[in-house]
Amino acid sequence: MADEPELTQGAEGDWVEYLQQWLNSLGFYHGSIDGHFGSVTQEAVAGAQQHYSIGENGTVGPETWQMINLARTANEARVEVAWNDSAVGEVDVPEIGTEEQA
Amino acid sequence: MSDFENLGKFAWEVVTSNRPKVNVSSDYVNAIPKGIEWSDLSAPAGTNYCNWDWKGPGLVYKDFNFSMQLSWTYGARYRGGGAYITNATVTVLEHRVGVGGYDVNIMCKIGNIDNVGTERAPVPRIPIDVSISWTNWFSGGGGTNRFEIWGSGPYGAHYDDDSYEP
Repeated sequence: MADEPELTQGAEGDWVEYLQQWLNSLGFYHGSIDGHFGSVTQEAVAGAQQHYSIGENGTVGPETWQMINLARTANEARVEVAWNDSAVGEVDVPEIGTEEQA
Repeated sequence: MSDFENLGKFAWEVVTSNRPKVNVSSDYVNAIPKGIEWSDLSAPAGTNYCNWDWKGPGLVYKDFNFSMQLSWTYGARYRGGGAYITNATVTVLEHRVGVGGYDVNIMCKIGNIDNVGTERAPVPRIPIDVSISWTNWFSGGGGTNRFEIWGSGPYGAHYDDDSYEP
């Protein structure tokens, strides 16, 4: 996730193709998956950003990648538990009335 | 004196929409002898605790983290005997929620309190389920830490990640 580049109109390559695939699967992009960040891709990015309220500027930055990452992992999303430290004291248990007998 | 009374709660919200909501003066459970005065109980022998982190989804960066603690007093005596719990509560030690439209909620529910001691030397056992649930833009999930704490001090715990129901 830390390696995703910032993408703006005019960008080309595998990351743009990856972006287009996910925008398509989310229903925002209906153009060809060609790795070219043109106006259709930019409109799709802006549409997704508007829909998820993450700042509509048409540039793909960390928040937009985060959104795509969430979509990608949605079906494998689980809460993990990590057990940390504990303190466990313990006492013997005398019978009630012990105090009076003593 | 092997009948117990809970003067606290049977359920309470710990986190609502990402924000801790525990009120330490009212959000607790206890198990003391039924029908006695508080002044008939000795002070507890001590306070135990168990800490854990719940980490949300996200392959590299976890999208949320809640550091939690269950704490309980143990070993309070009635007329010199038994081992009662005067207070058990769940608190949020730290929390962080990242971007992604997350809505995280945490609930605490108490089960039936039973006696794992004897009639003359009672030891209450309190089942406590602490459940986390979340939704984001795309999905939802959660799980439950199922605890049981004993009046004599020990506890048991396991995580049930199949407990989430959308």
